[in-house]
Amino acid sequence: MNKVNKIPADKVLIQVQDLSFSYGSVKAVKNITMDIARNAVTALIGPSGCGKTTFLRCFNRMHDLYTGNHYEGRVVMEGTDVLGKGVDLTELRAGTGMVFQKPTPFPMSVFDNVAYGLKLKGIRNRTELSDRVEAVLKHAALWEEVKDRLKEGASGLSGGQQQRLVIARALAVEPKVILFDEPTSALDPISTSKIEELIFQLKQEVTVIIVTHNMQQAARISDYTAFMYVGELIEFDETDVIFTNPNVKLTEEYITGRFG
Amino acid sequence: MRHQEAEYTELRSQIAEMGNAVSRMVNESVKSLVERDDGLARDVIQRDDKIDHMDVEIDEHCLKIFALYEPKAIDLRFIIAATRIIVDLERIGDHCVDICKEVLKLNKVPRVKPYIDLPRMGELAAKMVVDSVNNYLERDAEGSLELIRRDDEVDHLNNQILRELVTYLVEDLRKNQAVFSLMLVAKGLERIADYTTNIAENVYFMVSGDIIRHIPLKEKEDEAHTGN
Repeated sequence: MNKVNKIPADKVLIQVQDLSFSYGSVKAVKNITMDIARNAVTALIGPSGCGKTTFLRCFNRMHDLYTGNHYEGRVVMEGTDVLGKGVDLTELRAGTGMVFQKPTPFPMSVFDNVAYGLKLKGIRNRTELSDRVEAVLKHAALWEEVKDRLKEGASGLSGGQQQRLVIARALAVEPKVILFDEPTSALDPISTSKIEELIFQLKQEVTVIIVTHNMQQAARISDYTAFMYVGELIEFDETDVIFTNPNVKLTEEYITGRFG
Repeated sequence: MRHQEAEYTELRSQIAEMGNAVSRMVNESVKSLVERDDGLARDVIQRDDKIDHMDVEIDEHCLKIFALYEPKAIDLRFIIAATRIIVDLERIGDHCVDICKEVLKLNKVPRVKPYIDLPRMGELAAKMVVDSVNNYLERDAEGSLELIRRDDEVDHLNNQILRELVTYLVEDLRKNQAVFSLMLVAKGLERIADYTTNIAENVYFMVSGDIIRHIPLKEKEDEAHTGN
């Protein structure tokens, strides 16, 4: 049922080829083939339990943190299969940042949260660290709000600020991809709109894959949308096609709220 | 029933009601001409306020649906089509008013000719109004293409009437007032049929997602058959 991929070859960053993923005997992602466009936002939508978060977590191999999991197929990013045995997972996850539903700042200061990844990359020079932290916080549209509180604990920030701090932390190590797993579902509408604006701008430098339950959000910020149902990719197309004239009846039923 | 469905059902009823009211105006405009009935012509003119009111009411209803439910896909096209169709229906109502104003002038002077083609044209136009709205309610894309084809017949009648009226004018210049009024009546009916083709294009868009405005009919039909 997978639809023809329309993304031109030179714009493709990741090729997902016949990807399946199982937890023990449960196959949660089934034979997905699709391309992820470079410097674009791809949204994964579908009802609860459709496998979209499981699919998202294949891109940085988050599933490897637990045992009993099994991948089939390939996820090829710039010629390398990230599911391959020789892949350095730390390097993979630095290059493929992840932002979760609830903000996950480290229990340290605002500054140190952002500097953390930079220090891991070997940047020790205080001035260079300061400059990079400031640049990244500006990039994450947070600098004006935290520039006088850099030494304070990150847990004192509001939920929306914490989420932007987490995005800044991911950006600091200059990833190619950022995965967002329902990044605004715990936020109020104003914080949500700031995060959405940020994601929209981020695509100039990174490739974004976002799981969202909020279809309006997918419609607002994404360039491509994939609709999943019981582990399968039902339809994948440009976002405006999915939301104005989808090809598959099941997609239409889901986005018009007539599902089930 | 989900509350969006109730809103869509209500919108359908509103469009059906507006379509009925407007097609009745078209029929009765022509009837007031044929029967030289000033009372009926004035009645049609007065009813235009009701059409304007329906236009605003439906427009507001569509805005409410957009704001509250953010419709998608077929629902989105259904509401968009509604907002466009009411504009066409409202303009058809305005043309009925213009026709009736000419009827009031015509009724003050002797009849210049027997009315044969004008009632025929009026009948066709009124039927096109009814059918275009029914196509919307029944989501009938094929019926909409067929309706667009019917516009040729109305155009043909209009040209025939205009040619005939010119001969009356050449024959007796004193009939110019009545002849001009009849030309305006024919032109009004022709425009009404044109508006129903706009409605048909919007219905086609609603059903298929394809915009066929500004495309010649032959290409529209080819597109419909290839599914592109």
